[in-house]
Amino acid sequence: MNILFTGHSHLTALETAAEHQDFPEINPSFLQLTIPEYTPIVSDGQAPEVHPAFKSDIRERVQNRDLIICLAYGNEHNILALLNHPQPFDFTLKSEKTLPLLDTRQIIPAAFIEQRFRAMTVKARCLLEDIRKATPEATPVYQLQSPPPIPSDAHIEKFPGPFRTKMAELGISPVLLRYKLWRAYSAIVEDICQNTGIIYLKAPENTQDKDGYLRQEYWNNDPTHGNEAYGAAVIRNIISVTSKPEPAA
Amino acid sequence: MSQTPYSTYADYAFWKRSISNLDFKEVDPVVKGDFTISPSDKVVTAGSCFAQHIARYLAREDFNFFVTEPAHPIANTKIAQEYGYGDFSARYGNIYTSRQLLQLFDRAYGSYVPKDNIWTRPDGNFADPFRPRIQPDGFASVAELTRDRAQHFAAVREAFENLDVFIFTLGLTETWYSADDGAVYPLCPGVAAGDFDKTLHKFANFSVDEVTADMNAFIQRLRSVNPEAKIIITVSPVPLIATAEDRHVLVSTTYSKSVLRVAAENICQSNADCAYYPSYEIITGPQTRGRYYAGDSRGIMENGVRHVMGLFMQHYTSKETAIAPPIKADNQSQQHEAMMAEMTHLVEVNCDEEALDPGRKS
Repeated sequence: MNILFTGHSHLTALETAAEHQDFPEINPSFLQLTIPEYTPIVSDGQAPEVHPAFKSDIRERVQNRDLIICLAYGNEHNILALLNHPQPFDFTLKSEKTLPLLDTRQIIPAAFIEQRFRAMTVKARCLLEDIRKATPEATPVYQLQSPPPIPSDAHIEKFPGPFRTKMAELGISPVLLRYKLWRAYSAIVEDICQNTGIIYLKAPENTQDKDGYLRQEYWNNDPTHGNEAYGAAVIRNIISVTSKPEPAA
Repeated sequence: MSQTPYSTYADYAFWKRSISNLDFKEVDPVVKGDFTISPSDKVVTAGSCFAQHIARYLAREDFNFFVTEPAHPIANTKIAQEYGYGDFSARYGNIYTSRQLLQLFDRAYGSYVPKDNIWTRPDGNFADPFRPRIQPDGFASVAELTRDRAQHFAAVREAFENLDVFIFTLGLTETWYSADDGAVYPLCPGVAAGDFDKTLHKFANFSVDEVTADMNAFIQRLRSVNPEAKIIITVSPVPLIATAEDRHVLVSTTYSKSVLRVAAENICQSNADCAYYPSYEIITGPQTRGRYYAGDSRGIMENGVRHVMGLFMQHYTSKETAIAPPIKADNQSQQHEAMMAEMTHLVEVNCDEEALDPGRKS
């Protein structure tokens, strides 16, 4: 399978895995979108537009592929999720209403979170729409769910990355809230995919513990990403999902 | 011509001098405010839908519109409004009747817990019978509704205990209540949420004595937690949208507004620092010939609200130019925006680092 993997920082785990491990079923190619020339252009009050350089390059790179795998953006939820908000909040996750509400936090409507995540994902939507448009109709395009939250505060404190100072000021959000925000964000991205003709692929179940958090062997040395083993697990999942015969019509 | 008591009366006592000879936009039935509101005074508003205009205007005019239950700053203005934030000082929605106001106080302070306290919606979500329109998609769980209600009651208590001026607009005399324990609903069950049950849900049309007694009881309770509270009572000029009496809605509107107007007079005569503000007369008086009503003869035009609030500013506000202290929501918004900007930057740095230097040691 000739696959183009494209996206932002979560792509790195997959790229590293593909470099170091053998996946004979696939012939991967990677296109990182972190450079400014691939970032959608946002004018005040206007919907973002893809950069001309991206528009041109993506049309070239998607040709003759069996599959396009996207990890467009995927960390916006951590703007709200990773550290405590100055006005701590919690909400009910629509898809899992029985999850408890945290004590002493302001309870806010889930719609507030959705509205915020929709605003945060305009660039992701812009890129995904263009990738789908650029790709031949017969070629499936997937967007992968971001990795589940790392449940260990100790790990996040040990590898705070650029959040060190802010983390000392605000503290790490409770993992239950981080999990809810990851799920709420994922639901918004899934909705974008459904409206764009893109298949949304969830994080592999075997990378999650019983509570849905990222299992320890997949934690990267930073607060928000999966590591090479996670990348390998995701690639194996992609191979498994896309190798299944299509159901008879 | 001999002298009579009328000879000494001011122009405003005479229809010709204060109405006929003036353009309707210049008519001023307020004459004189009973007290002065300074820009720093905390003003809390509640009441029927007309009270929303008052709240909006106060906020716009840099008054200290005291908001104790602002939307979380995550929300933008549009969605916050859809979820009932900012219409009033707390998220109680429209309070149409004096009984509803009295029961809000008692519920907020825990002395009254209605039996009919949570409604299940057809979509499986839950509605607050006493704020049925506050959460358009309903509460996702009983736990969420209960937590939201607890924080709402805390905000109501904060408002009552710290306000300097309470402006209440009496809206209706007609109401629906629970036969179980007399809990009054802002809207007939089944209209915005809930199911109408004719054995449980009963109709009442309050009298002057009932409205007066409810308001006197409320004022007594309010002053038990805030002895210095000043009160302004208004009557909504918005006609009934429907009547549950078997008669024409116009007849019911006249009855309802008449009761409220008389009750307002009674309330203000029997309570110190309680003033009647004649927004009803400004909008409905014959001098306007209906020109402050929208095409449906019910909604109030913006120029009518402007007339009401212009006179309010003239008669009830000081000439001080001090800037009102920023309301709580502004501070929260600033903190939120600062955090969002910083976290957006840090997440970008985190992602750039991961892309450039995967699996680094720290």
